[in-house]
Amino acid sequence: MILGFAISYVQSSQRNNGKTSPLDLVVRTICQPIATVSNKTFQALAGFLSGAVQGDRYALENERLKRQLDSLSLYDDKIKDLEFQVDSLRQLAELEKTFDRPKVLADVIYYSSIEDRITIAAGTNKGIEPGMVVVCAAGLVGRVQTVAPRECQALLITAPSFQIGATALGYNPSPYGLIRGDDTETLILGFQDDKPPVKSGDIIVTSGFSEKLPRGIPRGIVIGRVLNTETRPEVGASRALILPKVNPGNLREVVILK
Amino acid sequence: MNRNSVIWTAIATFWICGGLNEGVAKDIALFGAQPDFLIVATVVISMLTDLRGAALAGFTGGFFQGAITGANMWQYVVTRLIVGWIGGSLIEMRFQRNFLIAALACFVATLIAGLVFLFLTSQPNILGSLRDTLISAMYNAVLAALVYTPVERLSGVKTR
Repeated sequence: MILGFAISYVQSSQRNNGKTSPLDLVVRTICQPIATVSNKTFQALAGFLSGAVQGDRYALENERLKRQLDSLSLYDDKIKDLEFQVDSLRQLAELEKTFDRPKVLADVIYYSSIEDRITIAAGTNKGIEPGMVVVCAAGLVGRVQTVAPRECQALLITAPSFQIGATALGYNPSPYGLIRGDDTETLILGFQDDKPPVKSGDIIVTSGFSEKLPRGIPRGIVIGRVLNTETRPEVGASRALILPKVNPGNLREVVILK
Repeated sequence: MNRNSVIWTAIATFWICGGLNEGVAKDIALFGAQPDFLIVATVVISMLTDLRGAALAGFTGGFFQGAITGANMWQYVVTRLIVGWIGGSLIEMRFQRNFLIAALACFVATLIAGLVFLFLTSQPNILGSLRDTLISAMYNAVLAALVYTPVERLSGVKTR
């Protein structure tokens, strides 16, 4: 047990410096071949079983998609017009600026719901550094905490220790608050105002600037949607329960913004 | 009992279970609860050795789990030491070694380790975590029943 405490101390001090403990690295490197083989075998098996069980349905789906593709070609001009509009909206919301940064696409190789952490198959070999932002198509995933040569670990937005400035879309002036993890499924967005400035269904995005909180998280990355709000007049504050857009358990690939 | 074959079997079991924990545990989660291959390995190995060996198996299981997760090493070491102690104690209490006892030990050990872990880490969503622990315990029990017999054969330990 004493040895466990000693190793834990080494691990914590390395993590606080944004590094992976050498012992962690050794264990993960030893387990990596089995993890890779088992993961690939599982994916292949799952794909095979899914194909075998749902073969007829896939054939019908394929036919239906082919017909839809033919129909969609008729709407090509309309799609181009809509794409233009989407691009304009993106510029308005500064999303273009957000994703203009160099990015690294990487696989998620491990997820711990208890620790609210994921392990990503990209490390210093791909220029990853502690503090970089991890996103996926749905929105903000978390932030890189420790980096090893071939992998890194990110703290998820659902972690209680992860705090970040957030705002709601569609308001002028924008209501700013502080968001933090509540449990593995929800987040809490706190406001210094006893009347909640957001309502159910509002989209919550990163506010993008902060002196005190982690820097480098760009503005406009989607975090989630407001489920409900709660007034706390006794402390002159209010808060909103947020359902994150990203489900970490289903993540396969993520993008790390440099 | 051939001590060397037990040691080599333990090494291989922890290696494979560590890899499976890292590689497929998240993909085979049931109702959001993942199986814990390292608890399964700890229980099975601790049943094939004496109490000192069980403690070592517990430490190894906790060390592997903490290293793979990347956080809270000591909490994993403490909870897995309990897991190893449960597995070893059952055999010290003259329970017969078989896959059913392995499943039962794994179920109880996962529940107790999960509860102690919740206490040590102050999880915010207690009910959700308890539900996940219960599902994990059942999942691990089934895995332990499947894993026990091949590991016992490999180690060369005679069933009592």
